[in-house]
Amino acid sequence: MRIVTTLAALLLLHGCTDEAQEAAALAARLEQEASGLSAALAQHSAPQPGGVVVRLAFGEEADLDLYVTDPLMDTVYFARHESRTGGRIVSDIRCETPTEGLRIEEIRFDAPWPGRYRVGVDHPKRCDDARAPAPSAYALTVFADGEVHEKRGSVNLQRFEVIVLEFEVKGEPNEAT
Amino acid sequence: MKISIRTATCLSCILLTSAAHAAVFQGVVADEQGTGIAGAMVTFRFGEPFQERTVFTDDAGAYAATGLPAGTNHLLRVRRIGWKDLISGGHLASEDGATALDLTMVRHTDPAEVAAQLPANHWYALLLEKFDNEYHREQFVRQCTYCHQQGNAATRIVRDTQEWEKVLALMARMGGGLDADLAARVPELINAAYDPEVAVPALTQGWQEPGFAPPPSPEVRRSVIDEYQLGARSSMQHDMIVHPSGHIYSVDMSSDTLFRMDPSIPGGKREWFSIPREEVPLGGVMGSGALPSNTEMHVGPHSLQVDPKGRVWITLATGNRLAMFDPSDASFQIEPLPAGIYPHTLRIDDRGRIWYTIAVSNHFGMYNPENGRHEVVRLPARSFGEEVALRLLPFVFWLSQHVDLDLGGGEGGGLPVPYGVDIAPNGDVWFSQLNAHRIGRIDPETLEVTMIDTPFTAPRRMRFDSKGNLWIPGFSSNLLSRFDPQTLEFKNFELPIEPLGSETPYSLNVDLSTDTVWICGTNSDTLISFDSAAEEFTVYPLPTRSTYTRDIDFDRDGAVWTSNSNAPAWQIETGVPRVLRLIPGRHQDPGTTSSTR
Ligand code: HEC
Repeated sequence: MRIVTTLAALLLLHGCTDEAQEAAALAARLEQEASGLSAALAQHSAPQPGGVVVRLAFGEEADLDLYVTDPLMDTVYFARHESRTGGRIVSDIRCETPTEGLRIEEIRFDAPWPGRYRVGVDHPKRCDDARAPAPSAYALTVFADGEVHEKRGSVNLQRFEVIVLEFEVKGEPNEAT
Repeated sequence: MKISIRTATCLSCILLTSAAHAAVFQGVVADEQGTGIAGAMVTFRFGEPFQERTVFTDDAGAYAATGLPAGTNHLLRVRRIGWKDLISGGHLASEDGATALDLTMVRHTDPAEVAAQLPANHWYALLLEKFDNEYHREQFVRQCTYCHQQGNAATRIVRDTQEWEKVLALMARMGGGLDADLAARVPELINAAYDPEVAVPALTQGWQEPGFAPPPSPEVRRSVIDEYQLGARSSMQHDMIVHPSGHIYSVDMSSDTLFRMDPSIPGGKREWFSIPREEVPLGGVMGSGALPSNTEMHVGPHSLQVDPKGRVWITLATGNRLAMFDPSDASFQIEPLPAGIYPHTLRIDDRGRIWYTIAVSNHFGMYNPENGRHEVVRLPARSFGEEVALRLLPFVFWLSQHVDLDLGGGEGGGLPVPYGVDIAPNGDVWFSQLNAHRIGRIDPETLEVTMIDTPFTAPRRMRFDSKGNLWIPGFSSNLLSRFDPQTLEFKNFELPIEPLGSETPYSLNVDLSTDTVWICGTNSDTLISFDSAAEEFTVYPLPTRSTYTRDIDFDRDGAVWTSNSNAPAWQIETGVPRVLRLIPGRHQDPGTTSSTR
């Protein structure tokens, strides 16, 4: 029945605003927020030697979740604290987590396996009362193999952007466990 | 060894096979005092991608693993609940005669390690007994156990309430929604059930006594189990079939791949074919919500069957298409659905017509490749509200591609979901409507639909036997049911998996040569057979923890095939998806690792 109510609400909400103008303003705002997060993240996190460190920064309005899938296609995220290759989530930041403005979620691999890594960002929940699509801005930094990969963007409520970034760690393939 | 020679090429391949697979390991598995251990699983792994062959020890602890490749390194694992896994590598079998390999196992001293060896259903039983409300228990089982096991190592972790709330919200977006009042109680129930302080003593009571985790029957211990690594680490080998050619075909929903394995080649020769994705985006029709994090699914191949011409038909669930694979030239032909969302399970009748359930939109489809004709029937809903919700679905899905829409998991999974399907010996088409707890019959000529309530919950994937009885697993009711379409009577048989009530049978198949029913022990790492004449069950334990099975097929030698499709695959012990062959104990000689036809 939820679908029917959502649909009715959507049709009602879909009024006669100037959609194009609104969308452009929203995009500009999100871009500004994301670049603010990106700058804050850069300040917050010194480059990491060794290992793979993935950090996701977002604002207090939402709970965003970071997912990092390792070369064994095993994913570290808030509900899988550790993967077979030793990746682990350092902190899962939730609406309830006390933070001062900037929220940073982090996943690290101290002895990363060589191969391809995938980073995903989910937006499961608002911490304010905003309703869908309620996009939330984010910034992402990856330290891997002495390289830094950065990405910023936004993700709508209840969307899981499964691949926002992919990167490679070089080396000889490991023995499978 | 029985060899039936079909062609000259085949003869040479069998000779080759026999030469390369002459090796035998045999010995005794004993404790440190030298007493034989009955019912231990002795597993030899070889090759890349690997094959594992498992045999059981007899009453005296003796085992013999035949048909292994000589001159190849084997990784050995010996497993028995209550004992530490014995793992050692570098075992070479000699080409002449049997290689002796006696093995000594060491007792566990920590009960927590013993509890960790138990199949998921033992843990799950602790949770299920906490539900004081049958409506909630049934809903939890039906909604939470259809992608992965419950009670396995990944799902029985104690988590803080906020984390559980996040897990439940994520699962709901994936399709495992619960009613709000149930969802509110789950964190507390799970944490209470799985708290090691309470769970470990409960699960390991009397673990040092001989009666704890008794060995399987002598007949079961004569069985041989082969597991073949298949696909990538994120693969979800949803369904598999045995093709009349002897090849095993399996579909990987997570990577849009059709796999073919030839078990007559030592170690199993594997080939894979990418199913055309056309323009379908990542996630297909389900693209908007929460996809598994490691997925590559666009069209989502789900189920497969062979038509009378030997072609393989596949439902592409998230691509909303049917695919036909022609083994003669390895080509695909794609057939979009004219209506409905999520083509699910299919069967092909004698005339080559394809009958399939369409799960999300409550439809049933028929496609006739002879004349290109499609039929799509709207199946009955249970109420006016349900009917309206279902009719709006296509629009909702269309809309969700353009605006953000919370499709949710449906609280409690309320909408009816057309699920299993099979064709009766008289040509009638029968299907189940999972969440509505009903089965239905479709007249193949008029397409008229008749619905029948099942006297148990969650009828899932069903099959007819040779006499026209319909066998149905009750997914959330822990039973096997026999339905007689003539008298409309059901007879239910409770599954014997211990602790009683903890099994979730996803599917079954009937070996038509004996009318033996084989049932997936989906949450207990087992396959279960039911002798329909004697009305007796036999339980076959499988060697790999988190073996989540969804379908069963048989080869010409009477071996039983299935696939491990726990999703996410990382929950499977060692993280590697497999297809499996069980050669039941009554087949005395397992032959070589190839099947010796
Ligand atoms: C539609 C399939 C599906 C259903 C139904 C489902 N799950 Fe899951 N579950 C998954 C997948 C896939 C993951 C891994 C998440 C990912 O890939 O991002 C997962 C992860 C989990 C985890 C975290 C452990 C891990 O390995 O990541 C728990 C705990 C869990 N599920 C419990 C539940 C419960 C409780 C329910 C019922 C409310 C449920 N699941 C229903 C598919 C499902």
